Amino acid sequence: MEESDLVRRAAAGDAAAAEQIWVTHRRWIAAVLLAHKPRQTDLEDLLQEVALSVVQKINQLDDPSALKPWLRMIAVNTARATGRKQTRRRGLLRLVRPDVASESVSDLTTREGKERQARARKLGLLIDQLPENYRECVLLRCARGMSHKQISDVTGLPETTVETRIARGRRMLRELAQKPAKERAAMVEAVARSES
Amino acid sequence: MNDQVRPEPTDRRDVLIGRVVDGEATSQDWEEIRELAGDDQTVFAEIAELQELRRQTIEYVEEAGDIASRVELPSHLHPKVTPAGRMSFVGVWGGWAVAALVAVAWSIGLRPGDPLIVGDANSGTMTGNLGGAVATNASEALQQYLDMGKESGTVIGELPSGIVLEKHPLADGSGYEVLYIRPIIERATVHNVFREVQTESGKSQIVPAALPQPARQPQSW
Repeated sequence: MEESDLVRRAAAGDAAAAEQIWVTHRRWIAAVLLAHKPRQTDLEDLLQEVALSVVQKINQLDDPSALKPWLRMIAVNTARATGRKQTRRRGLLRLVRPDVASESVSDLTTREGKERQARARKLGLLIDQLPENYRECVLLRCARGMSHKQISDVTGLPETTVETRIARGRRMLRELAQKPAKERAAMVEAVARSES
Repeated sequence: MNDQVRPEPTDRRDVLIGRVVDGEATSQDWEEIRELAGDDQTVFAEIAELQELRRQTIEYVEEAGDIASRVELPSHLHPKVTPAGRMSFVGVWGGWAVAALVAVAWSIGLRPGDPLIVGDANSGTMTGNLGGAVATNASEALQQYLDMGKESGTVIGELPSGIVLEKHPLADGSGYEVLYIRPIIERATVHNVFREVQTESGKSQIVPAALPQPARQPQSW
């Protein structure tokens, strides 16, 4: 079935169609969330919020061809809103449990061995230092080998821009991995300035 | 978001290297890469490093994708689904966070059958219609406080859902410990008010603030 048909059916109340849409897209949605979420936010919680928004708002999607940008927008908005809420909540929690509030919880620590956890944490910290618009393209490229065209469909960016951002982002990532922390911050700031 | 990026001299090099790293370089790209490598010996070392970073990034994103694949759509909340169907979504949707939120909302809601307290809120004594029932646990005590507060006017009510602050998996894997706020709206009359001011040296200081002036009555002549 064509995706646009699925969207129409989901919007008309077909729960199975909505579910199929979710299953098809949830992996790259996770990559978008990774790119935009605050570091200490739990990815699974965010995914559940996105899933809830999708199911509650799919009937508001007027243009079926806009599904991917619409899903991305929900993910980006959810990540940002949760970041704001989380800052407030951590402030409140700090009042009653200073020990807990300062803890860092990684998303990737549930089942993995120590070595993999450490690698993921280190890479996550490096990726977090990329400018947001580079980060998303770099991560989406690694989401089951999404093509530049598919990333372009999701982000609304021209393909050439997608390719350039991935190339620059990876170069930055490599350079960040080689630099001490102080130099990394200056480098990220310089790139952010040139982008704005 | 900036849709276009300004081309930089290094972009072509980065893009070519990127294509090799992704295994998508054409024969023409390879020709350019070889030319580049003739002048710049670091090209192939860079490709090797980026291939390793790409492998790690794929691992990182795959892990996130695996988390995503465990998250089901709460289909029972679909707008067209009947209200009766919505009741069972907690069981169907395995996401613990939402389940925790729902559980919190459920646990702090008014429960039929709780003793109705009718004592004097200011006296410190609790008497109820069950012959002076005394709370035997924290939940009962809180309920009594809410009921008495509502009667005396110091408690407006409790919001229907809590705010989850933090959660930690239990060591035995049987669930999560959830820290949450139970938002209770209270009413108070305050006669001493304070405000924060900055001193000349820039330090914060708390000083008494003026009370609001009573609304002026029209003077009669």
